[in-house]
Amino acid sequence: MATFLVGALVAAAFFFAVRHVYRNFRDGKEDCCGNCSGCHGCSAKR
Amino acid sequence: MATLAVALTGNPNTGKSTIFNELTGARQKIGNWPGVTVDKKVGYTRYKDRAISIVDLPGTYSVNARSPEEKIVIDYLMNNKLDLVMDVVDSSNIERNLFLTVQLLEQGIPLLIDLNMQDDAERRGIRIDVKKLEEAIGMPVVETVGRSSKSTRKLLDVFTDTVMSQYHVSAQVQEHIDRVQAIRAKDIPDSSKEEALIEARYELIDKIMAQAVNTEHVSQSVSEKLDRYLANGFLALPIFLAILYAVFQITFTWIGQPIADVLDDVINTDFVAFMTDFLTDAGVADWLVSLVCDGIIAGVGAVLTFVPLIFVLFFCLSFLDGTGYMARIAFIMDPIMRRCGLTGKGVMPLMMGFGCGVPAIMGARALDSEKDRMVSILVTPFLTCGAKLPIMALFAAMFFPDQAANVVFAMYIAGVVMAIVAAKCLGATVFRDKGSTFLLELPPYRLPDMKTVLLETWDKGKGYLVKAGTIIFAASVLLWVMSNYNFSGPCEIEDSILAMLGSWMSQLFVFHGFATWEAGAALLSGIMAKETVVATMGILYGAADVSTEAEDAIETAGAFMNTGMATSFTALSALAFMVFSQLYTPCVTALGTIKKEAGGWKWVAFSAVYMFVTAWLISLLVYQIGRLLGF
Repeated sequence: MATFLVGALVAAAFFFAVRHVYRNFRDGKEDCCGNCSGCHGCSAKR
Repeated sequence: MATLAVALTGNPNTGKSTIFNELTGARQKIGNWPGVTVDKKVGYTRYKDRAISIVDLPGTYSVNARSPEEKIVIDYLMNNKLDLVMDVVDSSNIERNLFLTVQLLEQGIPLLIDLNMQDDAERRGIRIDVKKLEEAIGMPVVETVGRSSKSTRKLLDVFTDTVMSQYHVSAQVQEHIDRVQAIRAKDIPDSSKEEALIEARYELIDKIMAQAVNTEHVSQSVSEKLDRYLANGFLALPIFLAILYAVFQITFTWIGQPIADVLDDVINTDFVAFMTDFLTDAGVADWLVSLVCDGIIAGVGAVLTFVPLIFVLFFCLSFLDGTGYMARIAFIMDPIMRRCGLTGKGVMPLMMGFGCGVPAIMGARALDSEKDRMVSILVTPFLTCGAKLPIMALFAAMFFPDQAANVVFAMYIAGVVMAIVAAKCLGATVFRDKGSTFLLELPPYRLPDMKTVLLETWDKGKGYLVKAGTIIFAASVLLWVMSNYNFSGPCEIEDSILAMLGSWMSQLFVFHGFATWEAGAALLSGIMAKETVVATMGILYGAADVSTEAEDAIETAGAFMNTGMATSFTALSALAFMVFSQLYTPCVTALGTIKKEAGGWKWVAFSAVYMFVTAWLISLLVYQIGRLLGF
């Protein structure tokens, strides 16, 4: 049971991490690094 | 009630972005150099039950639509229905700032004139009579001091109370507009027209200055006095290098590294031990305990250990940025950059590259010529971005413990030198074209706003933390699988898929002193994200030690890595590895940005290949020359 729970947790975290990386690559954006005005990566969120 | 639409315009360095941030609560980067705001930014606020949208336009000196910033400004102002356009004027440089004001009035754009930085102007002895200025121009004028809640409230009051249709330009401004139209209608060469227009504008500005501004008691500012040493003369470059060196000492010796050491103990020893016991006691299968502890925590933890260094370095750079010294760096570097066929302005995007290559590549848009832009895009990845810092810090601390800060500093300098050399080569070969002129305004020195410095530091550091939780997490899981399995199933690490790929890669480094499969695997993973190099080493060396040396479990993870890595590298081969890591192929995100900015896959391929070849050659030279010298 513990293996199943921890495994599910790791699998879910892995899925979301890969999805985040894929979306960044697809949209050509970088995680915010503070240089907002030189970067159009997250302008849609603002 | 409809949303009130406000646009902020003005010269660079007049404090538009500071006002925008104060009004909207946004965290837009404040740059103390021209070209920081390369695109418009939109923010929203509410005041007295009124919704207000505020657009921060790029700073420009004119609206001739020659540069991208000028095009953005004039297109936006002419094609959008705005309730209010606020022209932010630096009061301490009012004469020069009025040049843009006059041009905007010529376009028929009614303006609310914001006399910002009044405190600076008063300190310099510049006295502006607001009432007389209003009469001289015919437009409303408001005084502010940038970062002050009183000024913010005053502006919001003015936004909601001012009805611009009530204002009309003064008779002398109208006369000037008629004169400008007459000049434009004349049948004379464009250059003569331009000269006549500039002359007419300065005639009007002289009149306005005489009517409303008293400059009789103007004294030399502190900035001008400081610039005699910091931006001019033979001391400027040594002072710049000394400041940079101090930043590295603060980061790697005095503050950052001691905190990093404590964090290293907490994450990689205490937390790993706790999680191992906890998961084992809970009955979790051994392979999953290994995945969590040897894979995820070792990989992500190895990267998290460097968070204090990243935060301290970014704090120092943001602080310098806030003081106005960054613009001096461009000025100081201009003669050197000119020898490479670029201008000092090219240093600015490069400086951004010390944080992250992606915005630095995008920041190249602010450069005037296509040649400058392309060269900047292609040489920026040579610099030591925040992601390469952990590699440098790890190897420097391990193999040059007494000189760690100096070695990392040297690697930063090596990156800059390589970028300059590459710029020279690319400028002379691939991009043979005329360079652009360099016009740079040196902003006054200021004590940085600590809130802004801390917010910028947090924003930059946050990006690093997000990466640790996403791409490094995913990479750690994949690397653990690849280092524990092959195509037949579970196996020893030496027979794993990662060892196979690493061995293949390592064949390229037979003459570099680090032809091990671990080094090859780490470098290969670094193309995904540079932080992954350290994460991979954390997994590979940490995993090997856990399985063989039980007593190492009580040592720090740094010691895990030290034990395995010490046998794989000598000081010289470590230096060659650092040089290679510093210069080789950019990460995939940077490559994606190059594709977007340079406009095609051919530049991605060019960048990836020429940087790999350069890194390979320089690293080879470092190792072989080092051997010849007996190291």
